[in-house]
Amino acid sequence: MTSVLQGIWHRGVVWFAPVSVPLLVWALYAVAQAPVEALQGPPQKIFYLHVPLAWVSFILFGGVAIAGIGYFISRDMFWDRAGHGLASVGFLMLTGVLVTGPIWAKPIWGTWWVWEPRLTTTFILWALVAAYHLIRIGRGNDGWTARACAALGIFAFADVPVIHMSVLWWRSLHPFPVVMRQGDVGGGLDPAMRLPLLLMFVGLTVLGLGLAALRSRLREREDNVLVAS
Amino acid sequence: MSFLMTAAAAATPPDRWGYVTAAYGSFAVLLVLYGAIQAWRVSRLKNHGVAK
Repeated sequence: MTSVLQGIWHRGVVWFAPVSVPLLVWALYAVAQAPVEALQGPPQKIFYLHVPLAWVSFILFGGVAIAGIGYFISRDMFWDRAGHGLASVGFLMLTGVLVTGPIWAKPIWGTWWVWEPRLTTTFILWALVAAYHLIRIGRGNDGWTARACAALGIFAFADVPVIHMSVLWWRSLHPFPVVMRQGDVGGGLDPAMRLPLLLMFVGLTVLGLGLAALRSRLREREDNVLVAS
Repeated sequence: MSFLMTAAAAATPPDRWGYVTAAYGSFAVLLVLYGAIQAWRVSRLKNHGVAK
């Protein structure tokens, strides 16, 4: 079972990375063609990058949690390598979220950063994933690291629903979800703005999974070098 | 006339496309940095005669 998954992950999903390039070019063209929002003006176009980056990072951290559970059940290092690859790219995407968000916030809110619930819970997730990587850098990828990172990956993913619900639980500065209506709030995204958002989401998801599989395969080769030396 | 020009300049919103460029550009820089780190890892493996 694990060897089949490993074959799919290391020899199939790695091809997602080159496939994502034309998708992302198409997505960028769609972003350029999308109408300029009447109230916010050009900075609203950051939305087409910021929001899909957040969604994709949440999917990748979901994968890290699944890999953590898989490791605890099987103790197979494939799951540790898969979790490592997913966390590596998830960290890249989440850093992108925390960089593009303030660049949008400065012209719209008048400030780069506010310690409001959505931003704070997202920063907590970023710090947890940074800790995940610091453990790996500090200790190397041994059995203790695999167990600690599996537990940390599962714990960090618990923050994702909190981030998602934060704008509804604690009303503050961050906008409501605009794609789907949640209860009495949110929704209302113009149909002309849905295509670039969808294309960017699909393109970044394919890129993220491809890069994660590549990182995981590279980790396997690094482990083989350690065993051989 | 100069008063009108000054007023028009003040009423014109600043060009905010720079924020869009900065956001997309910064993510492109992050991607390049990530790629450079992975390329360094591959070159390190090549030194061990492992990576193709």
